[in-house]
Amino acid sequence: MEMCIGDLRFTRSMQTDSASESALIDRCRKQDFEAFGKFVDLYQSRVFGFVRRMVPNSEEAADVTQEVFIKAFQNFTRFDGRSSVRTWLFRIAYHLCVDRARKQDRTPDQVALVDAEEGESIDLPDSRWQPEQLAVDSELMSVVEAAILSMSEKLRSVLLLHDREDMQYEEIAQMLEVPVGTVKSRLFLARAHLQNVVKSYLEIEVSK
Amino acid sequence: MSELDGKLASSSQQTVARLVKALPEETPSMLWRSTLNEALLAQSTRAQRKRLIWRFARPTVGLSLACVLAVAVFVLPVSRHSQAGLRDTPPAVSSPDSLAAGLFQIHRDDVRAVDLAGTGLNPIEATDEQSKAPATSQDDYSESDLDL
Repeated sequence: MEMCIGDLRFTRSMQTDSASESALIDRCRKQDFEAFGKFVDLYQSRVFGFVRRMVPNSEEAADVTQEVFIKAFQNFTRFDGRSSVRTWLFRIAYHLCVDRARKQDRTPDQVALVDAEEGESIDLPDSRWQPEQLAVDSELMSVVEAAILSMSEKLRSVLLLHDREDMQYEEIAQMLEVPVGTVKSRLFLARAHLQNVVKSYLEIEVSK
Repeated sequence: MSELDGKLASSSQQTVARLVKALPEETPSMLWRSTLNEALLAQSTRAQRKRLIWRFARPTVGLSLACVLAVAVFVLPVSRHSQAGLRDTPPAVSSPDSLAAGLFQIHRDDVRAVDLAGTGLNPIEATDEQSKAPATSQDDYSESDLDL
């Protein structure tokens, strides 16, 4: 019974969140400055995190993130609700990141991607592979960040949108205007590359 | 589930996914936020000003359009019609001499008619009478008419 009640409370809480977000979006559409401030509070970290990993320079990432929210504010009246507001916002962020990268003609160093079909799986006897311990291993995080930056923007964007922002394949496909199969392929390649880098790092660490 | 879906669901792929998920969150600075607030406020002020201008401009634009439509619907067709009416009037007589000659002939016929029979005789009959009588001269009268 308690579980049922708990579920009901949980469901009600989800409905309340959904309703309050709808109300917030409606106010943002009317260019309500205060409402948009709350909207920025909700999404600023996530957008900044995404942009920061797409645009390596910190100052540029801060500028681009500001541009994202300014553009969102200017164009909120045109948001028609066909996609979720999150997808819409990240679409703006992605296109601004791509534009910025093209202006700078930033091409990442060519990194040989592991042949995913022949790639070995990561054996995880090491306790450091427990996800809850990963957060404290800042060195490993730096390695992962560097590996993500070394990928092309096509692989990087899919990896971040799916694995970090929990977007569905269809959402990502709609945002990037590519087929769902392409999204899955890119995700697989991106993870395989990351897997290779992390495996090399762990082997080095173990050998020490 | 396709082959690719199967590969994406493998343990190594899922481990990497969890690794990406565990990356630290990036929070922008307070300075960044205050700069953004200033930019948004400027945008908001600009948008409000535009709305205010449009609120007053809209009736003016509407009225102007209504006037243009009224002119197009009511005034222009009337002026076109009057111009067309002028074009329909018959053209002026090309030769003023022929007109004068025609008028003079009508007058002569009238006078002849009155002289010969007073009222009643129509100019055609008068003309016929004249043509039957011997014409001694180009004058209107003959001696027999004057009973001399």
